Amino acid sequence: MEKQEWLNNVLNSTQGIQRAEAPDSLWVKIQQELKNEVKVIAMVPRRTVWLAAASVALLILLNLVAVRSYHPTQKMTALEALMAEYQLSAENLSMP
Amino acid sequence: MTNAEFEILYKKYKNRVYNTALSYLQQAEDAEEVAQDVFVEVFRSQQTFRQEADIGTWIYRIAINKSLDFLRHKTRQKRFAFLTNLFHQETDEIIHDPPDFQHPGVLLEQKENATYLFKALNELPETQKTAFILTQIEDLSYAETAKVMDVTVASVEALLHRGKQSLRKKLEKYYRS
Repeated sequence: MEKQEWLNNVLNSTQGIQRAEAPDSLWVKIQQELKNEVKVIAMVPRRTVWLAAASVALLILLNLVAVRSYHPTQKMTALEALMAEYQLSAENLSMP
Repeated sequence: MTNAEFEILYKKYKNRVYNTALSYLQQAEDAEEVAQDVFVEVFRSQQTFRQEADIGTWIYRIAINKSLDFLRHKTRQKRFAFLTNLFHQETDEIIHDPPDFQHPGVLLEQKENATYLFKALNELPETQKTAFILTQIEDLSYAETAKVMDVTVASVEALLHRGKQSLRKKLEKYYRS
């Protein structure tokens, strides 16, 4: 048989093909899966799961941002603030 | 959608979904698994289904996407198989390389030729494969195929033409003079 003829035959080999029939067990399996899914949904709604996951992710993100942007600042005591305001130094305060 | 309505829908589309999945996956067990996923998805997503769209088109799309996802997953498994055991421990059969596929609906005198065709079909890009399966195996019109693939009729024609050309080249290695 010529090569081209063979190729044409192969390419046309699906002509007249019948659809394969789905197995009888398929419907039962689908019903079973849907029942199982209903149970899971009844326990924890999908939206709640996603909401919880998003909240945790946001919390982690905010913590990371907070830690990264944290710079310890020097706190002035009341005495130091007073000294700064009146431009006093330790030498000025020393008594004769 | 009530259970009764869903059952009617299932009965109408079960063979189309199963046959489409079988054409992609070429294994009855895998096709059954995908068909199961498709109908669960149909039931689950019925609220999001846009009524103006054709339900058959929508179901075909789900079937194609699920089949392609399954194939991609299998391809990843095959790659990983090189790092794990290639042979079954008890039977010594190759785990990840299934035997040649024979479609149950092919005419008896075409069985051998169709086996070569399905082998070569596996090597086509996804869009060309989809155009071929829908038009040549599912027997959809070009217009129906275009709707399912969300492309123009001209694109379907071009994909099919390129697909057939590519199949010819790939089939040459199976030719015995």
